[in-house]
Amino acid sequence: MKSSVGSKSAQYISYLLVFLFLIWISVPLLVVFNQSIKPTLLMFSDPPKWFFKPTLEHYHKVFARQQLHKFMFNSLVVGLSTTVLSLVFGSLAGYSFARLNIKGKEKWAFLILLCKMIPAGALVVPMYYIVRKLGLANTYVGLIIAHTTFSLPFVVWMMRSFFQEIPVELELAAMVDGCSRFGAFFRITAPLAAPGLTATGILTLLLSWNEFLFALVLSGRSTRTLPIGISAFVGSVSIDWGGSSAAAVVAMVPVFIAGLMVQKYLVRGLTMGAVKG
Amino acid sequence: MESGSERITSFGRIKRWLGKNGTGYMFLAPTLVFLLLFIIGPIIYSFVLSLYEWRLTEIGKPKNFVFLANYVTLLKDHVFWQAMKNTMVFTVGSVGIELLLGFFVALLLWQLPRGKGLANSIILLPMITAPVVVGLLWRYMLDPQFGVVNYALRGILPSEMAWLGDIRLALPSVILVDVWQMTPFVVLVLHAGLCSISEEWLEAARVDGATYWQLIWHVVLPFLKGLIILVLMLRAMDTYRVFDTIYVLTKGGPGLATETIGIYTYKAGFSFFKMGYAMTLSIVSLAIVLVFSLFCIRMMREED
Repeated sequence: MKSSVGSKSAQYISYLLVFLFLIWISVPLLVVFNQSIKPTLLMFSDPPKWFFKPTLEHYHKVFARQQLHKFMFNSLVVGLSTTVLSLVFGSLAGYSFARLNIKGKEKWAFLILLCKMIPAGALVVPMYYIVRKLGLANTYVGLIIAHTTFSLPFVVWMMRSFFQEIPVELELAAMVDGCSRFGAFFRITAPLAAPGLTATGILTLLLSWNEFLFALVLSGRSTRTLPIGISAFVGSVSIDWGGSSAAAVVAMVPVFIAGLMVQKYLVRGLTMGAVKG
Repeated sequence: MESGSERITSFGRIKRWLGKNGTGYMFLAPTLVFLLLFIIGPIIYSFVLSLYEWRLTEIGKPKNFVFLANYVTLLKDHVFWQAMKNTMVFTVGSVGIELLLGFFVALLLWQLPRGKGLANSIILLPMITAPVVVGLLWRYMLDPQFGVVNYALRGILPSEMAWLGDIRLALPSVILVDVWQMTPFVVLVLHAGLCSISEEWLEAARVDGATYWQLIWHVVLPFLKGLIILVLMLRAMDTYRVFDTIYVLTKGGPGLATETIGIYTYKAGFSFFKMGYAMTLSIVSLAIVLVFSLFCIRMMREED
């Protein structure tokens, strides 16, 4: 869109305003990073000090004393299992919606969409009850099931949109050459859908990594995930500023890397495949 | 052999049906079974349980059937109505500001000849950050004594503000946090929409002598209408279910100032142990979401 803006000065104003928006976005992130490497003695100085000799004391502390790596490990176990389970189930379903003949296909797809719309706050109480009845309270399995309830509908709709973009002729040609439907899926379509599958997988991992409410209710002492570990820093009266900042940075960095990796697919992911972006 | 051939035909029919639909259903089955077992099942079950009065502490004991008493209690429960009101204010406030600000920033971004990629990479960061972490970030920012916000406003405001501790400021502060986190969502989606408007359309309008604002009003907005409704729906459903950020920022306080329906449902079940009532709250808030989203989807269908 070079031509829609008439004058040079209008362009400068656009740059300035976007720049201001970027500042507004980044300040809290920079503040928390700054705090995470700030020596405890300077933490509450007035006026605040922005430049100092950085320290890793808070990072050292959250791993040595608060055992942050255990929370990270739990998050990773739950996240990866949720992702694998959702990708296997969800891409099969997405494929069948995109390609196969099913009676009332749109109705099924819509039902799955409705499942995604259910607020976690409304599902958490019934989910807690079921998980406890099944004897899965405080286990990884209970939490994986809970996380899959929101990631599976997401994967179905994402993969449906990716499969719809692959020309059906390629698959038909493979079937003419003697491949079965399964064969055509695994040899032709699946490799072509690989980038979409990877992006969907990373986004699913991210959703699970960030999830809080189910983890709060369903995880026990040995299965607590990272967001629970971080929320534990927030006491009723005081917060450990240095420690919680370090923990927050540890939680954010992998998410930022993952987010930038799938930037191209982010808009599609945010709209459940509705906008190709 | 009458019955035999009949059997063959009906067997043939099943086989034909399977041939046509079988693979499709086979691919679909794991997902449907999972969702049936762990979403639809629990919800139906929790509707049944919402007709009982029972406490979390007595999970194994027989429950007391009260029919719709929990629903009657809910209608008379002033905390529920306060939570509903807060949720609505939070939803309308957050989504309204995010949509306006987001559309404006998306327009600006669209007009930049260079630097879009870099700007997008920064803009996406807040919305992929865990809501718990976002809550924590803003606890620092809004801290009355050591927070950056009060420091920056020193001299402008008469005194230091307890943003999250003041009964009048808490809800607007929480809205501010959501605006910080989720305006980027609106920016990215609408920007993607703007980039898909064909250059020829815009050129045609310009040749006809349209000014910038006429262009926005008569070409851009009608083009984006469906997308704006989609963004509106996704954002509203998300703000309606808000839990994590508020849990970390205020836990619903001070008093009931930021108590939302999500927070109240959680408290009813896991702080007050009133499980039957918590399930009643779940069912009611679920019904509201479903009605709202069906309405939005119908609107989008008409748009298409």
